[in-house]
Amino acid sequence: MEKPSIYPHIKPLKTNYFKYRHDSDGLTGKTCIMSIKKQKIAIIGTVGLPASYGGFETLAEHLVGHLHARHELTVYCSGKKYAPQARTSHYRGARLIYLPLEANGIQSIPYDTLSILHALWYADVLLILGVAGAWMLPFVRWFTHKKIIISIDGIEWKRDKWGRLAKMYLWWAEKMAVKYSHIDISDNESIQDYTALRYGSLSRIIEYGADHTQRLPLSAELKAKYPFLRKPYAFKVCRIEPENNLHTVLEAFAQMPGYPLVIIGNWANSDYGRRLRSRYEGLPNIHLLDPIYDQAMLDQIRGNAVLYVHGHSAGGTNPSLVEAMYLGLPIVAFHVSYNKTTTEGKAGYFGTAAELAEWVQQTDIATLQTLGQSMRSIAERRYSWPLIAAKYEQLVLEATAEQPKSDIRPALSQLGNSLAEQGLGHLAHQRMFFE
Amino acid sequence: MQALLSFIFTLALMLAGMPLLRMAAIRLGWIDRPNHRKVHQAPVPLAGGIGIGAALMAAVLLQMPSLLVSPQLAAILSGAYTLLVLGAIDDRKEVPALYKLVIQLLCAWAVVQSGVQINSLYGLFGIHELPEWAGAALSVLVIAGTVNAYNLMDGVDGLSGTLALLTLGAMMFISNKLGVYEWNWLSAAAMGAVAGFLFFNFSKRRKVFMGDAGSLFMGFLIVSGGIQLIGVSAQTPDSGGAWVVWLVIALLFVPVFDSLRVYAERRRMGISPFTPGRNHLHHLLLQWGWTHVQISIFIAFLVAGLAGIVLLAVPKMDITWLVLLFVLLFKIITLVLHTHARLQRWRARIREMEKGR
Repeated sequence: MEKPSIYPHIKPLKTNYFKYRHDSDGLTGKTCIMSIKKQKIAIIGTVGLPASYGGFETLAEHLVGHLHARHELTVYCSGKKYAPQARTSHYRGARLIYLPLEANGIQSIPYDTLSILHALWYADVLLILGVAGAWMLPFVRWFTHKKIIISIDGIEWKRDKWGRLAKMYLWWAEKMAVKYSHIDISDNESIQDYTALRYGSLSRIIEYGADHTQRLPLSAELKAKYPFLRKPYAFKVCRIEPENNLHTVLEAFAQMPGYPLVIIGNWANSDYGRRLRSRYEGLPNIHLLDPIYDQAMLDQIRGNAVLYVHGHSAGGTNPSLVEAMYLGLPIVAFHVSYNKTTTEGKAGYFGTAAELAEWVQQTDIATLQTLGQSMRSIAERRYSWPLIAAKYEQLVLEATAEQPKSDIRPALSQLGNSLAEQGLGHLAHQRMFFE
Repeated sequence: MQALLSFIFTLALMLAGMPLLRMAAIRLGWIDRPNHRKVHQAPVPLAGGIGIGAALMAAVLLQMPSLLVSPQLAAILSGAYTLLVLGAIDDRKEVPALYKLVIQLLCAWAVVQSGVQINSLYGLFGIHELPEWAGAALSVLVIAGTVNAYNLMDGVDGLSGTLALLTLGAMMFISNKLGVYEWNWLSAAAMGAVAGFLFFNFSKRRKVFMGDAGSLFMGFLIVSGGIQLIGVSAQTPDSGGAWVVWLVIALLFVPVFDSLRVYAERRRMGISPFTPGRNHLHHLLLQWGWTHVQISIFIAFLVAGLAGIVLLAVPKMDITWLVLLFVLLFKIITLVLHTHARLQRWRARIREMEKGR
């Protein structure tokens, strides 16, 4: 019996159509023919390509890289982030469309809305990342036949960075997204639990890939610039927000002068950041650096840390955590369900500064190394872009698949050999309604 | 002038007498103890209602005993004082809801018997004149309903007092326009008493509540007075139409409609409508994150806003549309607040989920 195809291995044919045998359910061995059509997919809700911003942009970049040969992709980009001279009509085979709006903040609502409206002209599938434009979805469902796949991100309405009205909008928009999409995607099992509880529907889980990160040796130049990198150090890179528990991490390392800690982030952007910086900057083992935009440099500093401290508490699978796992870094993460599911419960966890300090002081180098290896093996198994892209493609095909017409034979008569084995072979040939 | 005097008199009486009454209430155990559905933390004496009632009674007896000659006012005041006593007993030890309801209906019936009743819907839903019996039944229902609404509204500091003050002020204005000097005087006297009460209600160190005694008393006084003023305006052909009706509706709309909403919600959830709960407008506003004072001010502004809409819209708008507009406005406010409350509950729930696994 044929196994279902794994899409990345399918070579694109010259024609737009090709057929493959699809195992509809593993039990009966009954096969039906499904046709795969080259789909026109609109990717909506990212800042744009080439990716230089967050998780969704990296995702879009890799979806384009893996799917452009078999589908027609269009990616909506924020004109505010790409200067006119930097814009191109296509990127790695995907068409780019620029809208003169910000992709984040309050403008994300008109940005996503206009993108959805534009995509209605040509797309077969709207792949929407984030819920800002979800108020449109009922109308899309009622008046068009477009298929909607939406990634609802990590319980965005709960985050402290939003004002009350924004929270309420996101809360409602998420409901619209789940109710009116054909398929909704969570990036973490714990988010799936939440959508199951709140909406009673099954969300699909697709996480993020990390195999674009690479481990580079520390350059001499960096070592000269930051001499503290010569000795083992714990590392953290994130936005400086209370949600990321920097105060807890700093408090813990302030108690441990023997353990150097390097944190990269936008310290100057908020009161919170400035307060922390002025409080902890003087300590000899704590090094608080401003953002480093040179990806290679950042990768070097991150990849050579002996411990990655992940303080994020916001919902979902965090790309930075997945990347650190892929780099094989030992991880101690803030104790929330999202981080536990991402690391399969195998990392170190802390809820308070005391717990973090205790964990750090009681974990020896050998344990750290095994921990790093197990993180790496999880990441290789789960967080690779070919796999993630294949999962997205699977959902695209599922959403667009035409349901085969139902057979006139009752389901029972199709059980095949097993019927005969049970002495029920006569049921395979029943008198039909027209006979 | 007499109205101003009565205002000053009751205000002074409250300011002077309330501390004494407060001590007495503490001695006698007229105290509101915090429980799961109360929003305050420390026990507070429930002397406010008794104080208001006493001050008003002193004013009537000393300054305007002639009021009691009018059968309508006599009925209204005796009903109000009956409810004051009922509320005072209820404050001390729970009176069964059914008893309370029966007594309220009897008091309402007495007022209707004295001739204070609704005779017409003034065009609401296209209905005008009502048959005698229907008007009487409706009046009893409206009085009992509003009294209960006022009672349930009394959940955060200053709210009942502020609302009563506002409504009495509007009644003073109406009665002045209509030339009903008894009510002009009576509302002024009641305003003085309520203003004096509010001083202590908002105070931190010498806080008092009005208790069921106060809220039942004020609710009864206000709704009966409102109905009487409507009746007078209907008999005064040159009073400029039905604006009095509309204004009274606007003033009573928020507490009454909120009670109806809570009642409907409890029916929908399949629990007894008399179960005490925490989903009144002021509870939702507390969950929204406002302080007691902010809530009182917001609801007062809301009521004043509705009254303002009425005064602006009277010549132009059909009364049915106006009421539907009120309902719509109220629905939007409660929808926002409900969404927010649900969001907060989910937030707490997710916090729990995040800790798990």
